[in-house]
Amino acid sequence: MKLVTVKQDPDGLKVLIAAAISGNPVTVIENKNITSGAILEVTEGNTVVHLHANSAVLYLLNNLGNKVVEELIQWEASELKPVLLPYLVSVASGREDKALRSNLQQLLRDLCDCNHINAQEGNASSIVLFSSLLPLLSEPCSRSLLEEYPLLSSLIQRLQEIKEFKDSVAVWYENGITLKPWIQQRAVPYCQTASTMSLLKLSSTSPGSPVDQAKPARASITAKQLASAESSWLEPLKYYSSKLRGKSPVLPVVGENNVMITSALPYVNNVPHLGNIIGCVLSGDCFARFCRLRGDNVLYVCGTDEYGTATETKAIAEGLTPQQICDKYHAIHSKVYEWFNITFDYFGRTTTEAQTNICHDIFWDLHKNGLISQDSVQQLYCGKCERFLADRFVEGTCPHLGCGYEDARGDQCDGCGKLINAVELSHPRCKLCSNPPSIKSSNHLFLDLPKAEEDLSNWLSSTSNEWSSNAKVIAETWVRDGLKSRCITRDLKWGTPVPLDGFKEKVFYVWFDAPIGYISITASYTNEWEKWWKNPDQVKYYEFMAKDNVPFHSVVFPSMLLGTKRNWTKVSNLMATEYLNYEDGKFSKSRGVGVFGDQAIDTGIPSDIFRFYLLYLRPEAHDTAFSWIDLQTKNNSELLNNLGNFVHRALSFVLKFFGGIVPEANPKEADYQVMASINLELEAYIADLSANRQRDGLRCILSITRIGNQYIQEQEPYKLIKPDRSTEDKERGATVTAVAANIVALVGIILDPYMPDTAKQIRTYFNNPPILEHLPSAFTCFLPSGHKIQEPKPLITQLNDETVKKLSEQFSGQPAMPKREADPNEIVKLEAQITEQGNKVRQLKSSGTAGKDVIATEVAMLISLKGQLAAMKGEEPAPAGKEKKKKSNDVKKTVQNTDAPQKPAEGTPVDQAEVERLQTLVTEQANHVRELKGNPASSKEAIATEVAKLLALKQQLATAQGIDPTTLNAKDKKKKKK
Amino acid sequence: MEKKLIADTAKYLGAAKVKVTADKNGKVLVEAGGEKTSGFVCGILTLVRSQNTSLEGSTPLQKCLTLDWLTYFATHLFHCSTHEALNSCLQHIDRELLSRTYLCCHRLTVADIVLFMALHPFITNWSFMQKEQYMNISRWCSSMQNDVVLKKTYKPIKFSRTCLYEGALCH
Repeated sequence: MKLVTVKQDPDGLKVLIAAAISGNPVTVIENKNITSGAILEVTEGNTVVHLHANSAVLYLLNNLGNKVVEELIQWEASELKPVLLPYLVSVASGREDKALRSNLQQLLRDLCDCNHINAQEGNASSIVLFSSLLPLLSEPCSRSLLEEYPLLSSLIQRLQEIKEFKDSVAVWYENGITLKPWIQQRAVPYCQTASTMSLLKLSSTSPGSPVDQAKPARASITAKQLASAESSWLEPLKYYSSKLRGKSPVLPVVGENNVMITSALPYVNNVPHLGNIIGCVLSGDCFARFCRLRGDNVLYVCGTDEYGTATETKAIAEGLTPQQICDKYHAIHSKVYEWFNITFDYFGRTTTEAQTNICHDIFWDLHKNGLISQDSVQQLYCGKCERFLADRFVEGTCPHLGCGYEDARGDQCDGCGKLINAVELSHPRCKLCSNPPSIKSSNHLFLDLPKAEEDLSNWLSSTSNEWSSNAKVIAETWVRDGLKSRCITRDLKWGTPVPLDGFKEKVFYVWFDAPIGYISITASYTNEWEKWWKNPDQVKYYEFMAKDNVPFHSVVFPSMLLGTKRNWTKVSNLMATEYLNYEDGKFSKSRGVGVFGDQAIDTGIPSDIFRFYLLYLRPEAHDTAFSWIDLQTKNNSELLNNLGNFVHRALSFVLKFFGGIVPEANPKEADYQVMASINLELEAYIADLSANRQRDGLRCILSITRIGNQYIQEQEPYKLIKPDRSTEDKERGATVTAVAANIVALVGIILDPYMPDTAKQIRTYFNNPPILEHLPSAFTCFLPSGHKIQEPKPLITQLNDETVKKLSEQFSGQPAMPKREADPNEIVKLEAQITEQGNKVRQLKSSGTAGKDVIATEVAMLISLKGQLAAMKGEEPAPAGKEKKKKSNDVKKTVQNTDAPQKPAEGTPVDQAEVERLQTLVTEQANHVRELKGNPASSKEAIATEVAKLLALKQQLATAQGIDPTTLNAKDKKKKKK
Repeated sequence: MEKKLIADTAKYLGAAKVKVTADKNGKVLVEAGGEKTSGFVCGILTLVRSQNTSLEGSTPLQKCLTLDWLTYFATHLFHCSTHEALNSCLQHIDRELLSRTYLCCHRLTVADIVLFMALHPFITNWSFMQKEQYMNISRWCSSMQNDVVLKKTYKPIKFSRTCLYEGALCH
């Protein structure tokens, strides 16, 4: 059994004596947060139950059912304590409360009148009374009170002679009986006359929005907390004003809290969506801003990850060079992050000389230490394009049992989500020319992770305690399953070149060099980058990312750094998030589902609102989902009604009633109560943000403004300052107004990591005093009386139903893509090429002599050209499907082609006739494919072409039915295989 | 509040000829079968012991826990002067219900009956958001209201099976 208690609390003594008498040993655990004195934890079966002291004593002594004992114990809890505890509080403070003393006298008289107390020695009720009354002996005034009742004092004396009592008292009060250590931890006991039922009437008369009703409880405040609230208010805040501020470049300083922060490098080939933003850069920024407020020496770097196959394919699709693609998207990324107010000290990129140099240094170190090995790898090679088809350059049928998805990529299948080794694909085809590749072997370099395993697990066990739990679990799983060698080179052109002889025509795999980007980007920022990166003793390094990046950051990258045997700064806190979904599904660029960075800018909603909502939803423990309706609710209730309303009201009072000058404050206990509860929230805020529980931190701010609103509501300063009120009332009104304005000032500080623009706006209302740039440890008087403020303007705008409806339709997956600028000449040129290729295909088809595979090749070429054109015009290359459908009509010659593209907008009723027509087409095409597959004579290419047609048809059908095409496809396939 | 709840509990237990009086300080006195008991906790326990002993709990620990809860009600829950105080009581109860079916482990006791009767008028007015905030109380309440006897007197309350407010649990 465990006894959780505050040292010297009489309730703890009760249990201790009872345990001694009954012979049940208890383990004492001290916990200052127990406001009820003592709790006994008892385990029965597999449930743990908590007993308060009195029932614990009854339990230990098995005195239950004895009515006399029960009544006395009940009396102690419900009659004696509510008087005794406040009396002892007054005694402890040195000002004995006479009214309480006389109440207590009455009670003790009653106690003596009851005949039972003498007969009860050694049982539950005597223990309870003894322990409760014992503290009266601590001070002369209370001792004299007890001595007025010889019956009681002699009882206590006699009990103290009993061994178990004596021993327990000696243990509990080592240095004599005192009040101070425990009495201040006690919650103020209940008010006997108040009835909870009266609240029912209150709540039914005050309308109150649902959010107001759901407000968090102001926790019960102890005397100690109250006293510390008072002293923090009276003492001016000592803040640490660092001289380092504003110096560029930021470098670690001995004796400072040096914090290096990176967020996962966003891949350059796409615009980041809101999920990407909250997963890394926004979480990183929230923390960086918090650390700067706290006075830390912070470096926050990030950049775009620019090498790799995806850049190359994207470049081919858009008809640009990889470098052009990188330049274009780097600019887009920078713009998006700037709009989101992400305060990078430097936002770089990985295509730099520094990247190549540092990457080579690390490689040579690893090579020298024997961590690089060679092996030959079988790879797909496209003879036509004269290149090895790495990862995403090849597509084919998923080899996994039960899947058979036809458009699986070389590294992963979108149908079943499993990882694939490209050579395992059945019916592989080159993504560029649709030709089947052949298998060739090629020599590659490997990072010998098993050799680094021991160092890695030692390092992990010493560092990973402060990681987010998902990061810790993923890293541990990887190490537990045993590390394998990882191929670090690729047969590509766009990447960091490999410096080793015999491999010079290859490049490093992006995952080898991407994390090195953190180092090289720092190096691009300052020549003294090694002060950050080779300084693990003085730098705390935080990494922010989504969970999919964890293996590379927790296992591969640290293994590389450890393998160099040099003193690199390795991640000390790895903070990974789960995924953010969009409404009911996933963000998808190709289907236009979800909000992407550049589109967020165009919505007209301020970036602060996005920051607020994304951080409010931050997927910390499980996946969360972005929802427009929810965004609207949170904006209108939490931000507008709660935070915005409070700031505006509090400042308007200063302006209207005191001419914009903060009045003199003389706080009383009620005000200190409010300050104490704000201090509790502020403490929680600091603890939450230090541990990167960013959601919880935000809720603390909202609790503070809620407390502020309630404070104004209860105190009604606007009534107190009316001319017909007494001077006392007017002073009270001034105090409340001043305290409320100071709460606003606090919000102006701590809101900065979440809503920097809004926080800045609030500080502007106060004319930006320097004190508001530092995080305080407790609520204090930020604005002395006489401080001038500006007229506040509404901070938050309401989001109406219409806007939200429009936005949620806009991002629901319709191809309403904004057109990007394109070179008209290029378009004309491509269009000419398409016409030419189209004619060629038609000729071939009508000639009747051309083989099916020849036609298929030419058709593929045509489709690829059309894709390029579409991309250039800023459309999705999906219209290829239209072409295929038309072709299938040509081939079948059974169904008439319809003119309009078959993509009804979502929300429009499903066209039943169209669905049926497409269904017939799908069935026919499916039969055709089955025939072809069943016939050993038919060529792979021919099958692939027909399958492609089938897929396109299915997609159209899905769109016509208003179903998400990808999910349908995958499901459909699986069903067929079964 | 105590007086009404003792009377309601007596009705629930089917105890006949129970007289409940309260003095000006709200201290209650229960007279049943010629026996006088003072105080809420002992009053309820007397009623239970005379009518339906199984509702006190089966093991000594359960019985103590029943008494513990009744004391908690009488010293905390029934005397909240503000919504904040009530909320902190509710939070405590919600936490305790996290890992068990009823207040006293997995067995219905008189503590559950009393709590249900005390909270019913409040929970009836709760929004779905509040119900979600006190998820364990809601779960407990939705099973309590199916009790054959309680069903007759107390209007059923609707609870949502799915979470409507993401993050409401954080408070």
